[in-house]
Amino acid sequence: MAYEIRMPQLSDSMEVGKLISWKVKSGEEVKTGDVIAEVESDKAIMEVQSFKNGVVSELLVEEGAEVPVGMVIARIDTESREEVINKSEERAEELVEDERIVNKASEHVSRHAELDSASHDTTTNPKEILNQVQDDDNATLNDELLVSLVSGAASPKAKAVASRYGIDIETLQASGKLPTPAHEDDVEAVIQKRYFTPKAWRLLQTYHLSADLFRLDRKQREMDIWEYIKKYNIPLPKPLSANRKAVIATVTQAAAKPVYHLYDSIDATLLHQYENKTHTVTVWLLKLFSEAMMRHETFRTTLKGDTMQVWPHASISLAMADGEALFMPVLKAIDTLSLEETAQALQMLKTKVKNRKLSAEEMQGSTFGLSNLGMTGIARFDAMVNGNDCGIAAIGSPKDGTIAVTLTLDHRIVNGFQAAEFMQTLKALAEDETFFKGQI
Amino acid sequence: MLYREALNKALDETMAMDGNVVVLGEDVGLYGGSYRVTEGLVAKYGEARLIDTPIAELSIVGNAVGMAIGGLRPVAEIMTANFALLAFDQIINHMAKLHYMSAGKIKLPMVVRFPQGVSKQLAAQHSESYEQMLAAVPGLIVLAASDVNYAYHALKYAILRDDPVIFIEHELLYNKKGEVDLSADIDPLKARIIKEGKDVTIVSYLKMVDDVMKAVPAIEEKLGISCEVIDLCSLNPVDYATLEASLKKTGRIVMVEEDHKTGGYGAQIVSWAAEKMFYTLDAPPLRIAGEDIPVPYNRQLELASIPTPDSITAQIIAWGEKHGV
Repeated sequence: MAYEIRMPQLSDSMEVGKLISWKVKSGEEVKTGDVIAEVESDKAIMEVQSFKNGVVSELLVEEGAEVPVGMVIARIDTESREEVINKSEERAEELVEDERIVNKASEHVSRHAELDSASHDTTTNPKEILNQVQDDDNATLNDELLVSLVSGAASPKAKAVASRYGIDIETLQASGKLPTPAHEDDVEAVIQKRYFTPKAWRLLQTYHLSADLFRLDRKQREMDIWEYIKKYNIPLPKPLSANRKAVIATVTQAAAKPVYHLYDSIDATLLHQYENKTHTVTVWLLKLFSEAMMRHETFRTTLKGDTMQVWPHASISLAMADGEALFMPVLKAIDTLSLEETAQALQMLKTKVKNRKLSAEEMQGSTFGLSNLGMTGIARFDAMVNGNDCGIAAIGSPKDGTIAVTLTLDHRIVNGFQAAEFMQTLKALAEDETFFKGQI
Repeated sequence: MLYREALNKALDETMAMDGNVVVLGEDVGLYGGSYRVTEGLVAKYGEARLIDTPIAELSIVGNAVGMAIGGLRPVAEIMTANFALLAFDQIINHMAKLHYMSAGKIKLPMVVRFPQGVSKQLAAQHSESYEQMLAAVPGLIVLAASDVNYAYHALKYAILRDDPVIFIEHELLYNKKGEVDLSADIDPLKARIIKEGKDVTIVSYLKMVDDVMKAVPAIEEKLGISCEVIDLCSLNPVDYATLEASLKKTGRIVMVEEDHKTGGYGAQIVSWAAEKMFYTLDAPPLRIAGEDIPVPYNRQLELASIPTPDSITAQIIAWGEKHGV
């Protein structure tokens, strides 16, 4: 009987695989689990193994050729199977049982393959096969060929997985190792139990690796998986958090805005003199910017369609980081708040950021932004404009009695000259002791 | 904003934008529409653009077809799907086919809107749903608005598009509250993923979407799973790509619709899943639908004849327990 080895699908995105090298020659004897070939997918190089004992009758693909998933790459003649099994009697009993089960499944597969080739000539032109695969909406050609002759009561998905790994559902159900009907989870559990330690399986899941990247002839340990990860330089996939998605959307939008930068510094003497535990530099900066915004209405302006909207209050979005998350909550109408109230509002937002309790409403309504890295020692940086704001100020660390301020401004709303005027106001306020005194 | 206000806003904005947009139907003018969807528009745009018609559905759609051929953008309101049956000759033989029969020479930039479904004790002749018939007519785009924001964007899209659109509303949704995001970039032909999940894909549309969302917490708690809820939005064409991506993830599909089960619209979605997604299915598809009986007048029987949050919960839990979800 001929057992066909097909190009395996190693990842969801894999459509073709490159045959790197053959590990067997035509006429060579192979046993279950023997490596037949090395194949390169879009992610890694892996070994293709035989799920059946026999003699290699045909190698259908040249080394270096790219072959669509599901195409037959080799045929193995299994006539001499009995002989080969006799030779391997010394193997552990458990393994022999497994092999029997595996062989039974493979027989089904090869029987089906024969039926298949009897009804119509198997296409060997890779392009034609690729077309076939693409013609099928879901590209499940491989599964469809294999699945229907895996016997036992199981969901279509469970059968698809079972056929891929040579699991005989019916036999396992007879011995009570699989429930009836079997679902995908049950079959996966069999694969997991048979070939992986629990830790190794977890690692596999974490790295989104497919089980058939590994030689399924023995139990894989955690170490084996780590080896694979390091050998093939597999990255750890980290799903995007909701916050990260939001940040990506916001900064991508910001990057498309026509902005320019204005670089200057403000005097830090009074800021330091008046800062204390509750009235921090950030609180004072909010007050300073709010006052400057009240004097320059362009900094209270947003753009909506073909209209400018000038807002009556100074509302500032403030960059707040918590671990890997970044938020831009808005301190609203700071011009109406006392220094004390501003400090309280800031504290409340900090708590909400920490507890992830910010509402959508609390992240809207600003016209200008503030990002303060003053506590980190960074001398100067520039920030990206948030949401509908007309600009943002990036505050550096104090140095030689001054603090670097970089304004990033949306040129559609604020012109350079207006920005310069705003900066002058800001500098003057920072050096104006009556302003500081007036706030307390 | 209310659902009916969102529809009103969509009409208002398109009428302001394009002088060719006209609304016709029973009581759409002076009375402001049976469900107040056209409220206030006659004062703004006059009786020439908000046309009160006789109670004659065939002529309402027939006139709309003529107006569309002549270059206007008519929006015909039929009071309910039940009365739209009288207009089916115009809808199916003319509205859906003239573009095709004229080899593309005739364009029909028109919309036929109506609510449908079980409201409250309106009895068998006023409680029907006909999306299954209309979605089966090639040449029509069939949209079903379950959501306030979608209703606004999709109706604008339907009016401004040069093809005939059937726009289905639900009698119990008109007072639904929701936000309209005016700047949202919505493709009305794409399904909406209302809630992400990884174990079961629950597909629905129109009012049943809300009932499904009410059922989901109890289902998730009882089965210890997470449900992905999809609102189809467009019943023809169907956004199979979104369904496929979801089903590949979950391996299980539940279809919930209010209409009678036999020949119901959901059969199309489940048949697609069986034909195209067979090897990703890890459980038999489940269809939850109305009973195969005329909708009863008695309130208890009426509720027993259609899916409710409780019956959706019970059926999905029973199905889940049986099939290893």
